[in-house]
Amino acid sequence: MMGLLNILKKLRSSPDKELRLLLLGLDNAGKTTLLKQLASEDVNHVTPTAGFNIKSVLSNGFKLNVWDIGGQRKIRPYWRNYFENTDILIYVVDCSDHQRLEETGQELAELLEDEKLRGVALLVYANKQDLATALPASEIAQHLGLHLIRDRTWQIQACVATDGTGVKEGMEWVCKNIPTKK
Amino acid sequence: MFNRNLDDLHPYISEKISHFCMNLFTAFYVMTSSHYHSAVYTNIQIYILFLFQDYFLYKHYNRNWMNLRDADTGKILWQNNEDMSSPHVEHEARVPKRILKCRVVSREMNFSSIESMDKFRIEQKVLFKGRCLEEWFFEFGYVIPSSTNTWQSVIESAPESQMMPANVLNGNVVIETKFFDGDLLITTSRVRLFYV
Repeated sequence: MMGLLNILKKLRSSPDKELRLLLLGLDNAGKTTLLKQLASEDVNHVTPTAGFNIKSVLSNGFKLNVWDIGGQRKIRPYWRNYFENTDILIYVVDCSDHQRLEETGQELAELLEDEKLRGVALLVYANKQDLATALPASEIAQHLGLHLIRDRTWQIQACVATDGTGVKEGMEWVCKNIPTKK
Repeated sequence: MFNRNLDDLHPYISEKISHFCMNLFTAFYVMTSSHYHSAVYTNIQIYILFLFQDYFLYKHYNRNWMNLRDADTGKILWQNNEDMSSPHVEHEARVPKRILKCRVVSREMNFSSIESMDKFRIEQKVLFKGRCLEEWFFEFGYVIPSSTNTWQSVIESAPESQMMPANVLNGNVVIETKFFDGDLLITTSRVRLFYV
């Protein structure tokens, strides 16, 4: 849980006492693995999420909640139930899944259009960079049309959720972009 | 058994329902027979009420497992696969003593729900001899129908100087968890901790 506790330590200067991170992305993108990696837990036995996984950290009166919602097609219509009060949206992409690049782009576009997520900072994790077939983060950014985003700050971070490569860098960006006011 | 699959939840429920119907049948048989007695009637009424509660519980909330971890290392120190949400009894958990030496501990639970819930929330209290030491309120909000979910909360320990020793805590700590959908209390679970 070191990664998450550290975020909280940096939060001390923020006037808000509660922070909500929302993890979304297609099924098999690596959202739950990423969450477990942040908590230094074993990532070898991750199963598809048929609902949500939440991690809550409380430290010196500050509270951090990370919400990981399942990405299967039948669960996606329920995503919007979890948008409210989100401070940072983290979108995870499986860069080796070429066939579903368009699908993941469409899902992200829908999220960005939603009223409840308006202006919410976006971090995209370009996951599974260890696989030979993985597209680089720059190409993923192009496919997702990130350069067209005008109404929020965004960042794309290459990572390997299974061994933690790049995860810390993404979280550092999150810390820097925590909204000071809701 | 470890992680009850959604596909095999169904026979589990139907078994509960048939169990319930059988008991209902027996109850009516006793009530309508000539040996009918008001005390028996009251007992049966309570039993039926319990069965209704159980049925409601299985529809809305079913805890599959719970664990405690050393949050510094992410290692599981204690895991329990039996359902501790049954409201009729106080459950017991035997937790390794060394958990009291951990700087940060996480408590994680896994639960399923067949029906959706709009405002699922819990109130969790850690009681020492009935006195509240620690309190967690958490609002999950919407729960997806036919979903399996986990919630993990991470707690930093009190400094060692303020920590009560295992032999003092042993058997005197109860984790009380109340589950609500909005204002409706679904169930209360009580787990007494023993440090071994």
